Parts: sequence; C-alpha cells; structure tokens
Amino acid sequence: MAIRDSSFAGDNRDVPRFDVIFRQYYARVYGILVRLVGPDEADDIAQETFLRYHARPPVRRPDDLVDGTGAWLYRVATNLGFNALRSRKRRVAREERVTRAELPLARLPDPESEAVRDEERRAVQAALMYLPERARTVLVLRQGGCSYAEIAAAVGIAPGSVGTTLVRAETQFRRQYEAMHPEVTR
Amino acid sequence: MKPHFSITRSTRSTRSRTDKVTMTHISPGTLRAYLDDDPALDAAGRADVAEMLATDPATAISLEEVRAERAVTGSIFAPLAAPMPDTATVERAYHRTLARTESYRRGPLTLLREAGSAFAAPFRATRAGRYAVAGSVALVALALVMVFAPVGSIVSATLNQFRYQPDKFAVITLDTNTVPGLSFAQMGNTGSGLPLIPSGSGAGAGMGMGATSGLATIPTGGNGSGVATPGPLGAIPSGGTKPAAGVANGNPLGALAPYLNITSSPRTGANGANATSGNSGVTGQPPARLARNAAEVQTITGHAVLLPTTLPDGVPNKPLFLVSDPQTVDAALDLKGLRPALAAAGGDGLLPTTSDTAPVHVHLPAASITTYGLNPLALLAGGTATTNQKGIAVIALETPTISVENLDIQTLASTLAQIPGIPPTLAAQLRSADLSHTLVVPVTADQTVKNGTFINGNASTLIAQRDGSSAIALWFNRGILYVVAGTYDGATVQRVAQSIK
Repeated sequence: MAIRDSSFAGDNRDVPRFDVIFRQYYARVYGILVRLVGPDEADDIAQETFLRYHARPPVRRPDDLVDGTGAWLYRVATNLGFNALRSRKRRVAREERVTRAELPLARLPDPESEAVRDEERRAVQAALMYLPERARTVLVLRQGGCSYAEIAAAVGIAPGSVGTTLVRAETQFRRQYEAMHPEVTR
Repeated sequence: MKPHFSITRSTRSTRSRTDKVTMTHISPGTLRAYLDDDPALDAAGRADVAEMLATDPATAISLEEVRAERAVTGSIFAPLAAPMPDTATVERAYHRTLARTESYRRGPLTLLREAGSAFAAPFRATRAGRYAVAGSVALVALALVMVFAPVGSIVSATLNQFRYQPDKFAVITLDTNTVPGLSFAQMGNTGSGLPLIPSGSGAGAGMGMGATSGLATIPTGGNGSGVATPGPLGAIPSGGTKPAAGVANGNPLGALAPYLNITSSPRTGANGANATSGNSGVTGQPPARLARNAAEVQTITGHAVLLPTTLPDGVPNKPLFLVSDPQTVDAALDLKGLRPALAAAGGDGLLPTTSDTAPVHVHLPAASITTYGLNPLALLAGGTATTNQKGIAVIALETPTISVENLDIQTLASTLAQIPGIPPTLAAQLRSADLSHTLVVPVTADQTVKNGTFINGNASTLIAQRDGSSAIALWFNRGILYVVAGTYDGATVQRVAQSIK
C-alpha cells in the first residue's frame, strides 16, 4: 500500500490541488470546530472534513459568486461537528460508567481554569443543540470568522438574509443559554 | 454588483392617522451587517444606515440592541476560542490527513465489496487472500524489527510496535510459557523493569515476540545497560528448504528476521552503509539528545512539552529535557528468500510472485522526552545508573506512520493468527485487533492492564507490573501519543499521568 501525494485531481482542472485547498482552509475549519467541539476533537473532525473533500470534491459551478470550496468545507465541518456533539453525549455516559467500574483510583482535580473552560464549552454546546439547524450553523460559522457571503454559501441562503438570521440566532441562543444557566445575566 | 441589503422605506404610524410621516426602517439584520462591517452591505447601504443613525433615535437604539446582543454572544463564545494553528501545525495536519487518504478512499464498503468478490471466485480469491496474509506476516516482523533494532531509542522501545497512524490501543497478552522464544532480560538488582518494552539491541532479533526480546530502556537499578541482551536468532538458511528453525522451535516471528533488510535508518546511515540482512548496526547517531529547555524541545517537535505537576516522593523535581529527532527507516522484505522458508513451514504460495521485495517506510516524528530522576542517555550509553534508581519519564510524539508497498497491512491480525506455533489465545486477540489504526501493546503474564481509564478526558491504557515495580500509561490526545513511564506502581504512575498539563 503506497501512500503518495495524490493531490492532483486528475484531469479535472476545475478541482484545485488537495494540498493547496488544505493549506488554505485548514486553519479556518479548525477554528470553527474548536469552538464547536473543543480542541480534543477539532483536529480529528477537520481531518475527516478534508478526507471527504479529497474523496469527492464539490463541483465548482460557473455562477458561484463566492468560493464554493470554502462553503462546502464549512458546511461539512459544522455538520460533522454537530453530529459529534450528538454522539458524544451517549459516549460520555458510557465511558463514565466504565471508568467508575474499572478505576477506583481518585482522579486528581484538573486546574480550575481547565475545568471552567470545559464547563463553558459544554454549556455552549448544550444551548446550541436547542437551536434550529440553520440558526446554529450560522452562529457557529460567524463565531469562527466566516463572512456573510461565506455563511450564505455554506447554509444556502441569500447573503442579505445572513444578518437577520444571525440576529435571530443570537437572541435564541442567548435566551436558551440563560434559561439553562440562570446565574448568567446580561 | 447588486447590493445584498436594501433599506426598506416604510410608513410608520405615530400618534394619529393624520400625523403620518414616511420614515426609513432599517432591519436588525442590516444593522448587524453594518456593525460587522461586512462587505455584504455595500457602500451605499452603509451610507443610508449612517444617515438614519444620525437622524433617527429609534434606529440608534436598535443598533445598540443589536450590538449588545452581539457582545453577549461573543462573550459566551470567547473562552472557547483557540489560537489559530501555525504553519507547522497545518503542515503536520496535512501530512496526517494525506496519509489517511488511501484507506479512506477505499472505505469500509469498498473493502467489503472486495471481500465479497473474493468469496465469489474461490480459487483465485483464495490465492489472493493467502498472498495478503503472507504479506502481513512479514510486515509484522518487519515493523517490529525496524522500530526496535535500528532506532533503538527509549521512544521506539516504549512504542514496541505501531501501525498506520494508530489512535487507540489494543493489548495483546503474551504468555511466556507458550511462546518459548520470548525471553525478557531482567535488569537491575531489583530484577524489575518497565513493562511491555521488548527492545532488543540485536537488530532483527529485536522483534517484540521474537527470540531476543528484552525489557526496557529504563532499568530500575544495578549495572544493566538498559538494553536487552540479544538472544539466539532463529536461524533460517536463506533459500533453505527445511522448516525454519525459528518456526520449529516455536518462534515463528524470529524466523523471519533474516529476510529483513534495513536499507536506510538513522543508525545505519542514509546510504545503507551498514544495512544488513536481518540485522542492523547499533552504532552511530544516538537515539536522543539533550536539549537546553522545554522551549527548544517544543521548537524541534512542534508540540508543547507537557509536564507533570505531581511527582512521587523522592523524585527530584528537576526535569531533564531530551529530544529525539524525526527518524525515517526504509527497509525491504526479501520475499524471494522468504518464500521457501514459508513453504517449508506449510505456507507455500503465501507470498506474491509479482515482486521479490516489499519496500516499507516507517516514520517516527520528533519526540520529546522529559525525565525526572533518570538519564536515559547515560543508561543507553553503557549503564551509569545507580542502584535502585527511581524515576519518571514523559514522552510525547505524533503518531508514527508506516507505509508499505505490495503488501496488505489490513490483514495483519489474521495473518499472525495463522502462523504455526502461535498460541491460540494470542491468535484470537490478533484476529480481533483492529491493526489499521491501533497501537498494539504486548503485555506479559506478570503485568496487569487497565483500559477505560481517562487522562485529561482521553481514554488511556495503564499497564503495570504485578509486583508494583514499574508501570506505563499511554494515551492519545489531538494526534499526539503520550507515554508516562515510571519505576512505580500503577496507581502512582497514573496519578503522575493525570497531572500532565
């Protein structure tokens, strides 16, 4: 099994080289995912995103006003991220049962800052999962630094609708977050 | 270009129906685009918004509401942000991803279809399957030899054996009573060493389950050099027709050693000057070198040096920083020489006839090695350890990778399981192991294994000597393999590992 740099997409000149795409978009994809799933899983899911691109890159349409590759990657990354969040809840519960059964050792407490950050991440993730899919995707992409045009292309809405969707998503998110964490006040 | 946002001219009712004024209403979405200074709101749209803000207090209030909502959301998300990966990090991620493209492209469904096709064509499929199996047999041996013999460092010794970008662990139990070739050199006065680290300076002999495996590179004391004592090689005359001695005496893996040619490694030189058949030089570039501090190590390895905040009593809290440079090993399996040996052992026709060699490339990324109370360089150089030396070692490196040509790495487990002389329990474990992404960790009967434990949220494997003399904890986190080894019982090493930050 030879592993080679198969970066060239064959004769399809509309498909950029894989290495170029990866280097151009990895940081942004990782930045989106790290907010969504945390650093432990962000790299894995980012890899999965690019593997999907490598296996079947999106077709670039002549009338695309914005970079379709970026939009495709952001959409896949957020979908994979939300899928991971859904499955994580089940997995964590299972692992905690195993840990309790097999590890009687007392675990050392994590530093306070790390624990706080984990708690904050879980709170954000929980609130996000209550939002409609489009709203939470728009919110996560914006927090990850995507422009309105990129968000519009990724979600499949008009660029002029991004602002409105974003404002509504933020309001929904904030209300949900505060409802789940009454101690948080504006 | 058509503007994405439009300013809606609307009629807003005020005090009475007769007191109507035509006003401009700006939607919160447009205000948000204005706040974000996003190009989706063009210059004309921005000018309209600015005008309204200057003349209409209600619009200004709306803007502040949108701004406040944005600030709240931003403050909630802010702690979750992480530094953008630098160029080096992106490059490493790229190579990790690229290495996975081959298997990913085929995918499980493709593999399943291929397997189905094999069953549909009995004769040819059988031979194809046997070829793959034979290739895997050789690969296991080759990987072991290359990892331990040519590199021979504490890192590779700890790893023992690796697979294509492992991201989880599988424990293989070795019963020394049923694998006669397995012998562990006891080092140090206490007679204890780190678990599971078949090392073997004896090159090709150093196959984990082979004839000359030895324990560990961090002895607990005495004058042990920290390197296993080479044992007898299962001698197979190249091209011989009689059953291989190694197979006959229950050491089938050792029997493969003479057919492994290290063509290039850090210890033999890139030109393969010391390349040997089933052997490799143990001189030359040392496996690791001292670094001034953690920053230097981080610069070389590309990942942060994480240190324990808890150490066992008596261990000096003065870390010794070492780094092992990236190492690549190229080798070739002599299929031509191996065919008659396997045929004699009942494996006639197992190897492909299309090629006489199978090139294999192993890459060990740069590793950080931080020790407390131990100096592995001194130990490797000839044993200057003090009696009953106690200490802790923390090792971190990106997952090693193997690339193989002409052979099928996916069938390693079933291959090994079919080797004559492999104990049934070991064969069953090998069959069930997912070797394509698994770091196989052999353990012996005098060691205990705990899975399902967590270190900083990552599943880990803890392996400890039953007598409490040493233990090792392994886990993956964000593509980095972490290993904490110590001359202490499992609970102590576990606590040290969990304090790694």
